[in-house]
Formats: sequence, C-alpha cells, structure tokens
Amino acid sequence: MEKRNLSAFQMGVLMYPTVLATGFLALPTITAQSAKNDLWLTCIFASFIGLLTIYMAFRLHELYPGQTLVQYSERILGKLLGKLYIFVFLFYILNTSGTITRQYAEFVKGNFLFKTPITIIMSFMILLCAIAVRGGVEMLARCAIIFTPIFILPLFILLLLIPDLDAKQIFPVLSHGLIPVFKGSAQPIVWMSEFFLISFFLPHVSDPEKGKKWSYISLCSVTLSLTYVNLLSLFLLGPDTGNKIYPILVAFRYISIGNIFENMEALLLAMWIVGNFIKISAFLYVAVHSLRQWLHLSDDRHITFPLGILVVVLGIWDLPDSSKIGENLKLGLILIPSCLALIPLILLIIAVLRKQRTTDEGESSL
Amino acid sequence: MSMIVKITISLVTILLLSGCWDRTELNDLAMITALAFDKAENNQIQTTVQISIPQSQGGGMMGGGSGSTPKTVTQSEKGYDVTDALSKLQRKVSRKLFWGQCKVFIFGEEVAKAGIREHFDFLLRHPKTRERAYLFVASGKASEALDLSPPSERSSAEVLRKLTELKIGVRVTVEQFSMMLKGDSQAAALPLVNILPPPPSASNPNQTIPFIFGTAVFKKDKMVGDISEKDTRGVLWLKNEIKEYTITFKNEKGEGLVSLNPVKADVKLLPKIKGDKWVMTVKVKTVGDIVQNATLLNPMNQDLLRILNKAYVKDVTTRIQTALRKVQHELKTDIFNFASEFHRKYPKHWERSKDRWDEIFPKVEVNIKVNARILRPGLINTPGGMPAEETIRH
Repeated sequence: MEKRNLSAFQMGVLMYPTVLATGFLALPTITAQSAKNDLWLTCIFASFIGLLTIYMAFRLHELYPGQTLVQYSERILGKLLGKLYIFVFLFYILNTSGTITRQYAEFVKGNFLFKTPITIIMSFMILLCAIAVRGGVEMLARCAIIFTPIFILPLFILLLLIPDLDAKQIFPVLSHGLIPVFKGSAQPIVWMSEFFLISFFLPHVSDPEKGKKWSYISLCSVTLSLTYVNLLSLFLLGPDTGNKIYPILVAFRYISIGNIFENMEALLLAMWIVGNFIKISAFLYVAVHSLRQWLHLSDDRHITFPLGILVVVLGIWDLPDSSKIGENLKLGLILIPSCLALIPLILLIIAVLRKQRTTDEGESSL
Repeated sequence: MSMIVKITISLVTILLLSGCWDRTELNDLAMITALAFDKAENNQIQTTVQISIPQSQGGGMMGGGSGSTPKTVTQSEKGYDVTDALSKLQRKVSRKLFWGQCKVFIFGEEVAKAGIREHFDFLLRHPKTRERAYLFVASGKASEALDLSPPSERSSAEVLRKLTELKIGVRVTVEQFSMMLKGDSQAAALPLVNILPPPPSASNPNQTIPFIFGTAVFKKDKMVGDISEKDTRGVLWLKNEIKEYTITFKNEKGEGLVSLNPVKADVKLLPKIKGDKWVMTVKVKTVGDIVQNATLLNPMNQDLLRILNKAYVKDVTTRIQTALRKVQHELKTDIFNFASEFHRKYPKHWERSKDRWDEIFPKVEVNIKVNARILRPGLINTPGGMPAEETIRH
C-alpha cells in the first residue's frame, strides 16, 4: 500500500499544468487549421472526453481501491494481456515524455537560446524532473502548488492586448457546419485524455471523497484557459492564427503599452519552463511508477535516472526536425486517446461486467 | 563526504545560471532602428539598415544634444533575398545585428510594385523581428529616408514611429498587414513616406525628416497605386480610425470657414445583399467642438447651429465619397475590408461569390448616412474680434 500523502486539492493543481503546459502554445494553431474562426469551440467539445476519462479513472479506482492502472489492468485483462497492455502503455508514456521534452526544448532553442545545443536544454530539464520525481509524489505536488500560480499569471498579462483585439473576428459562427470543429477537436482530445494520468495519483490521495470535485475543477479550468487562449489568438490574429507556429508567442510579443511594457516574451518563457517542468515530471513519475509495478520492483529510485536518460534519447531519436514532430503529433491522434481513453473504457466495461457476474454468482450461491 | 559532493554539484550549477552559450553583451550588438528594402539590378534586393550609434546616445539625452552630429549610421548591401543581403551586410558592421528594437520597415516604391511577398515572409518568419513594427512604403527609394538625420529626434526611424502613433495616416503593423493579405479582401493600405524638403537654413541637406503623406494601396502583395493625402482622410473615416481629428468646412449661409477639433467618429458598416445587388450602408456618427469660426454665425443659436451641422454632414459625406471614388472605382481595391463585413453577415452567399469579389467590389452600392453634431462652441459664443451687432444672430 502506498502512503496517502497527497491532498485532492494538490492533485487538482498538479493536473492543471500537466495537461495545459504544451497545450496553450500548440493548440490554437492546430485547431485553427481545421476549425478556422470556430476554434474556440474545439476545446469545449474536447472537454467531454476529459470528463469521460476522469469518470473512468474514478470508477476503476472505486472498483480496485488503492491500485493504479498497472495493477488493475492485470487483474482485469489477465496476466498476459495486462502485461502486454502496460508494455504498450509504458512505451507510449516514455515516447510522449520524450516528445514533450523535445517540444519544450524546440521552443526554447528556436526562439530564445539560439546557440545552446538542444541536448543540453533537454538534459537539464530532465535532470531537474528526475530529481523531483525521486522526491516522490508529495514533492511533485508541492512543486505544483508553488509553480502553478507562476504558470497562470502570465495568461492574465495577455489582457493588456485588449486595445488590439477585434472581437468581430469570431463571426460568422459555424459557417461551415460542425464537421471542421469536430476535426479540430481531435487534437485537444489528445490533451484532455491526459487527465487519465490521475489514475496514478488517486491511490495517494488522502481525501478521495474530494478527489472528484477537484479533478472536475481542474478540467474546467483547463477548458476555460484553453478557450480563453484560443479566443485571444483569434481576436488578435484572425485568419492568421493557423499560420503561426506559436500564436501565443506572437501575442506576448505584440503587447505594447505606452512603449514601456514591451518585449514580454520572457514571461512566456518563464511560464513555459515551469509548466513543462511539472508536465514532464508528472509524465516521468507515471513512467517510473508503472515500470516499477510492472516488474514488481521494490524501489523506484534506481530506475528514475535511467528512464530520464531514455526520455532524452526518445526525444531525439526519430525526430530529426520540427516537421517530423508535427507528423508524429498527428500519429499520436490515434495512439494517445486509445491508450488513455479507449482501452481504459474497455477495462472499465469488463470490470463492471465481472463485478456484476461475481455479485450475481454470490447471490445465486446464497 | 556526500556533503562535499552536494556542495560541489550546486556550485557547478551556479556557473550555468549565466545562460550558457547565449550570453550577449550590449557592446557587442548593433541596434537596428529601421530596415529599408529597395530594388537592385539583376533582380536582387538591396537592404539598408539604420543603426543607432551608441556613444552619442547618452550625450543626446543631455541638453538637447547637438543637431549636427549624426546619431545613426546606415549601411546597405545587395543580395538574392533579404537574408542573403543581411548576412553580407554583417561583414560591414563590427557588431552583431540586433533586431529587438527595430520598429520600422520601409519598402521602396519599386519593390512594392514588384510584389513584397518574399521579403515580407522574412519579417514574419524571423524569430527576432517584431510583429508590432510599423510598415511603410517610400515614394522613391526607401534608403533615402534612413539617410536623414532629423534635428529633433534620435533617428528618422523614430520620427516615422512617432508620426504613426499620432494616427495622422493609416497605421499598419507587420501583423496587421499579414492579416489584411490573408483576409477576405486580400487588399491592404500602407502609409506613404516622403522626405520633407530641408529648410534653406540647414547646413546639411540631410537635416530633415521623413513624413507621412498619402497612402499606398496593395492588392495581394503588389502595390497597385497610391492615394493622395486628401483621399487618405476619407479612407480613415471608412476604416473607423478617426480620433482627435480636425475638420474645416464651408456653410451655405455666408462666407467663411468653421473648424472643429477634436472630432470623434464612430463608423459602422452595414452590408446587405438584395438579389444580385450588394449594398453597403456606411453609418457615421460624429461629434466635434468648434475651435475657429470665421463666419458671422453665432453657434449658440439653435437655428444657425442647424445650418452648421448640415454643412458638417455634407463635408464628411463628401470626404467619404471622394475616397470611395478613388479607391472603389479607380483602384478597384477593397482596402476598407467590405469583404469581411459581407462574409460575416452572409457566410453562405460569400462562399459562393468570393472568387468574384474583384468584380463585385467596384459595383457595391454605398449609401452614406452621416449623423453629425457640433457639441460645444469653444470658449466664446458670437464670432470673436467684432461687435456682436454685426454678426448674424438668427
């Protein structure tokens, strides 16, 4: 049994940057490419998947209290299938951590530290994350409590852009029907399904009865923040949103109040670093934790740094350029939601059916 | 033992806090204040940068500075594209070119007429050029505007930036231009830069400023024509960019002019499609205060004020009509972005006819409805400098 040293509130705060960190920078442009000026609707649609994944994580945890995805999937699917699924899941989580680290470093190198080698940027971030992960889930939670405000505040600084915003850009609403919006929702769904990672934190939560409430609050704030960021890029950049690699970077650069408050992108960089620190740490924590439980190791301290190195390697391997990273994101459209939403859904259905049968059998044997 | 290891590790990390490879010192940078694009022979592009000279900057702050010592220097170089030219230009500058403070980009007229897409891509794509920088078109060679050393400001780029922020002409940033060309109308307007003739007392012919006079009109990425200063004002009305504006007009009763300042305006574009006919109603609501009254009319009299108001309406309508005549019927370029207005109100209709917008736009019927009111007479009532008996009071 794990120590229960995480409060539900801390978990909610931890999930906010874990889901949002890369999303607010990448999603406006990705969703604008298909949904055009209806991009603000995409995150609202995608949040339903977030709702579903949180519900599933809680239901599964109710059925198998104190257990993580790794443990109960073995019990639900049987030893062989369960182990196989967790292997795929581990591969996914390590690969995703690699991609996130790479995305983080690409942004830093492409816009700020032009001369610093990307390996250095990635390795130092992973080193920091690995140290945090070694400190355990409580350390992660405390980091999240400290850093999340720093992560949120710069979003409000974007309000300085109000004189440059043109709210008319939102019209005409849904002129091409709902299909482009659904297509645009595909990417936010990837981010929203990351909420399933709470299944790894739930066994540690000391007040599980509040867990649901804080998870939903976390989901709501993520949806609101993403919609806010989407609307802001639309109002500022209009038809140009889909053409920018980082619309929010442009937004921060565009701030100019009285020729004094200018060149604010350093704030975005600060926000990007703390947000991604939490995100990568959470992913690395999940990877370390699932590997430990998968192999039934007694301690996870020995595997943290090796897995960290593996994440850096995965972030460099097979990702020769940013265009390939974009391609892989599209591939992730299928892999990630199926790992984090579809298979858990199957797990839940099997588990519920089984529970029903055992209670039925129990009743009939009486 | 482990204590020593920990201390060593933390000391080593402190060394990295300085920012590794990307350390830059201010004295290794050349601050670019403006970049100009001109056409060169053999299909090449000539780029000219204006760099502020660091030493005289501090001196300029104290006691007005001496106008004779130039505070900027320009360098130019040719290349196959902007980046190529700039990399060659770096050879002539001992410090690394720094873009963070560059807020002015000027296109020469020839370049603008040949199309600026490829050069404009650089401004949008380069991570160090800023989206908020202002765009201009020079009538003639763009580099000439940068060679000037204005008496009152640090650089000619600064003059242009400040003039733009006074909102006397169209004001377009890099990002706005990009949106205009990507938008429904695919047309844009940029301020046109001329060089003010130097005063005869100037010791150096360069001791003058560039100033904004008129507007360059772009269809897609090519400049198709320019409109005069007078027509530009009408354009500003249609683009709803009138703020702290001055208007001078005649009235039907008697001689003399009346001037209003500041004039505020709110312009609404109301599109309508009736069958095959596209109609745009321009609804203008404007108010102003009298600052000069050369007529014999007393503006405190309601009847006489009505006459003045009528003249005010007529003047605004004429301004808009002149601009429309030039832009809609001569240049046939939708710089007012009527296209987006139609798109927003009639999305389905727009999808069907957007490819024909170039044909439709000159035929759009424009109704101008002006509601103009003079709010205050200024500090006096009857015309000043004469006995009240001689004025027209009713």
